[in-house]
Amino acid sequence: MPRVAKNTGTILVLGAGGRLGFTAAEAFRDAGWTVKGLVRPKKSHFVPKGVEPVEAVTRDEAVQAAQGCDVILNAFNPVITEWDRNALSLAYAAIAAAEGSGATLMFPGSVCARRATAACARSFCARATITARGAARGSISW
Amino acid sequence: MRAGDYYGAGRGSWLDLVVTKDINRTRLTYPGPSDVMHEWTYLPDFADTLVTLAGKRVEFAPFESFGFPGHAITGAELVKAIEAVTNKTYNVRRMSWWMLKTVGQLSTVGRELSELEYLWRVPHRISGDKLKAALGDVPHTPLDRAVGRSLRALGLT
Repeated sequence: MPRVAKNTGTILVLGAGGRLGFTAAEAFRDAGWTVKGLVRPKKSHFVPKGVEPVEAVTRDEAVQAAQGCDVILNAFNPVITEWDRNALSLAYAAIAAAEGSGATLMFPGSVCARRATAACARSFCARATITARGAARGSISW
Repeated sequence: MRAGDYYGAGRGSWLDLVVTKDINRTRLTYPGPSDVMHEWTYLPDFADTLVTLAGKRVEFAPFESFGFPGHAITGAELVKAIEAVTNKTYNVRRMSWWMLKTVGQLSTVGRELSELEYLWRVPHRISGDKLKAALGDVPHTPLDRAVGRSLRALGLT
């Protein structure tokens, strides 16, 4: 049975060729959304069928691509060895794109905000609101 | 929305890079003690949840943060699921972090991964209470089915 398309719109998936970006772009498409997929130059063939590819490098290009979008998903996934250098600037580009278009920004984070390390930039968040509870011993909460 | 370690779409997860890398030699590798709870996120469930959440965005405050309840399981439970869906038994080996940490002195990738080692030592799970309150139902493929589909997609079954 097809999913009931309720409150759909246009979404820009940043990093639509990646593991999460690709899967999410498919899911939004299947739910009846219009999906634009931002990828690096010459990577248009990585986006799922039915998704409009947008090749971009700069923050301005991301802002441009976001025009007219209702939602932006930041599914950028910088190479692990370049988190320190790229994670924040990509996150800022996503924020600029959301501010420029008025779109809602969705940001998937990880659990690793606990340590003051490069892993922190990954979650782009100094204060997490979830609790991760230990089952048998120990616990993380913040 | 916060999640655990992704699996179930494409390559590059702990599941294919580490846990099942020697599955054809009937061996599984686990990055921590087998009795410690670790949070995994089946990507198709996570993607479906993003869609539902996006559809309800007008109901939320300007800034909201959610935890995604995926599969919070021990290493033993993961191994059991892999054994169930492949109908085989495996020798389970602990991943040797000391080697990665030694390499970590020299390489960025070793250093970055070493920072995540505690997530295999410290039991944790992500609370989905807030998300469930907001959405009612959160997509949740049963573990065996999620693992089965993932292994099939990786060409391992």
